[in-house]
Amino acid sequence: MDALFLTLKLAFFSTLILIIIATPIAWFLAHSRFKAKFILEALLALPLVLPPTVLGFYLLIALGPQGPGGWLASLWGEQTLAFSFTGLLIGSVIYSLPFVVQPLQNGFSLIGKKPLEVAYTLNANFFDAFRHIILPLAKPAYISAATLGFAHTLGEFGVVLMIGGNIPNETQVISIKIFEHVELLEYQQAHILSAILLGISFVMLAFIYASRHRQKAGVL
Amino acid sequence: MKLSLNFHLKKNQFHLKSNVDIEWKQPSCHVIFGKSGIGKTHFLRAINGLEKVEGQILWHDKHQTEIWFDSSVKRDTPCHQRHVAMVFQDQQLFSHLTVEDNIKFAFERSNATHHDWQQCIQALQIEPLLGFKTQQLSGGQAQRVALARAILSRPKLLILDEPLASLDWQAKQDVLRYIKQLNQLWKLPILYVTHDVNEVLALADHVIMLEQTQQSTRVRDPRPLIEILQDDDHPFYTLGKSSILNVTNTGVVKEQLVHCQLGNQIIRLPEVSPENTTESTLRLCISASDVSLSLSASQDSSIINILKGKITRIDKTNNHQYMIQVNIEGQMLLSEISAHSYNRLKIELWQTIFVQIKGIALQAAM
Repeated sequence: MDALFLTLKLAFFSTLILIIIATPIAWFLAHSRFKAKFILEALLALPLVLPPTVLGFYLLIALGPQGPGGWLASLWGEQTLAFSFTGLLIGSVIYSLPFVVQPLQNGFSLIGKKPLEVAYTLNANFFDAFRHIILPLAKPAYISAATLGFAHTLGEFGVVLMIGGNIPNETQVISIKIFEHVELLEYQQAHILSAILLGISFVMLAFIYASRHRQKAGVL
Repeated sequence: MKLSLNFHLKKNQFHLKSNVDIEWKQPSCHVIFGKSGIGKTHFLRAINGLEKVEGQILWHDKHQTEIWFDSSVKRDTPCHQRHVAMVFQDQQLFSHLTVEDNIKFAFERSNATHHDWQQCIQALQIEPLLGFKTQQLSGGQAQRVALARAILSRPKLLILDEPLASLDWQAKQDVLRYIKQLNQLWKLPILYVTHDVNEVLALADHVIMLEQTQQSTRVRDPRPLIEILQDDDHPFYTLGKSSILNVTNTGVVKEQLVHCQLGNQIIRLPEVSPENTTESTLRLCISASDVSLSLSASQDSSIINILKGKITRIDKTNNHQYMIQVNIEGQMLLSEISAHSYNRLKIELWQTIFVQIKGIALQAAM
């Protein structure tokens, strides 16, 4: 059960960080007229197409003693961010970023700039207008984004395998644990954990689709 | 209050040049008029700071001058600090908020008082709508809510961007009445944008025309509506084909007709709204086609208003029509008559003539 708890903890913090950093990125992508923004879009979509091992490999280098991650770790006296929870968190944030940015970007595009401009004419500044007009209007998009980000982090395997290793309570998430059980031919335990993951994922996806339908029906 | 607009705005193929001062002597409604697609919306967005321009935009108050934009000193007052409220054609109410919360959004971000709130809600009759979701409102109701929201943001300037365009006839009349009422209650300088000649005639004090020249859209100097209606050089002359007479309501009512004074002559108005039965100045808008000419003051016609005047100008508008300008007690009235009548009556300049105005054509405005 430690693995399950660790997985949920990782997913929770990843989602939290993702929502915070994806908001300005998605806003920029939705509304900026900057011509070269397609480069950023392509970069952000990379985790969708790359094998997790490729991503994991680069992350391993970056988080290691010679990379920026190692330098960061040296600030609190460590040598590397690889094989630590922090490293795992950084990895899953990057890995799940497109799944959070895209629903938000679509949401912001759909809302458009008009409500914001109307709020300006009613004496509201950008942050005020964003907080009280755009955020509530984008609530469905945020629900989709958070659920997708959370669910996707739950299912992460390849990246964790590359940068996390298999340290109980530190980096041993549920997907790795299942892999380990199977390798040791402990099918009983693998069954239980797989079923739990399946259940959680299904409930969350069902939640997204239900909220989309309600939104169409004008309830949300 | 005065707005100095010396800027040009370039966006893709679009180019707009503005070198005008718009001044509100008393709080009144100036109309920006131009056909669809000429760039009225861009012009407005430049004024409220949503569009980048080159040049200078200044707002002069009684006491001070504010720089809203000046590219030479790199000053750009952001939209939310210019305090220019807007009402849009499609209202743009916030869909996640109720009617009350929509209005509160503006109210909480302004120095409007509780008294202002009461007065505004009452004047626009919004009380029963406060709990509604915005989706439940009809077009006319939504426009009233948008007006209330704009007014309670306590703007320096109120811009109405084609506020009647999406409404049906009845809702148009209602909202128009509310706009006139607001103008009297809050004494706000208003910029009203439209491509509808009738709205110009009903509301405008001054008219600011937007015109297409070869490469760009040009903003013409604001001129009083009453003046340009008589100026055959101004493009609005042929569009308006109407005159405005300012008359004094004497408050006398005889046989359901209100007596108004035009110099030494009397114009009788049918059924003016109750608040106009006291002594006041009324603006009458009279279409040139509703004015006919006669050589004598005929007593045997159903026309209620027959006035005496002198012909001051004759224009041949086309092969079978003439536009005749008649001076009545110092005010100008246009009459459009057929070439046939023109020849039959042997109309000449400076001739004394009687004009007959169809009672129904008299419309009190502002």
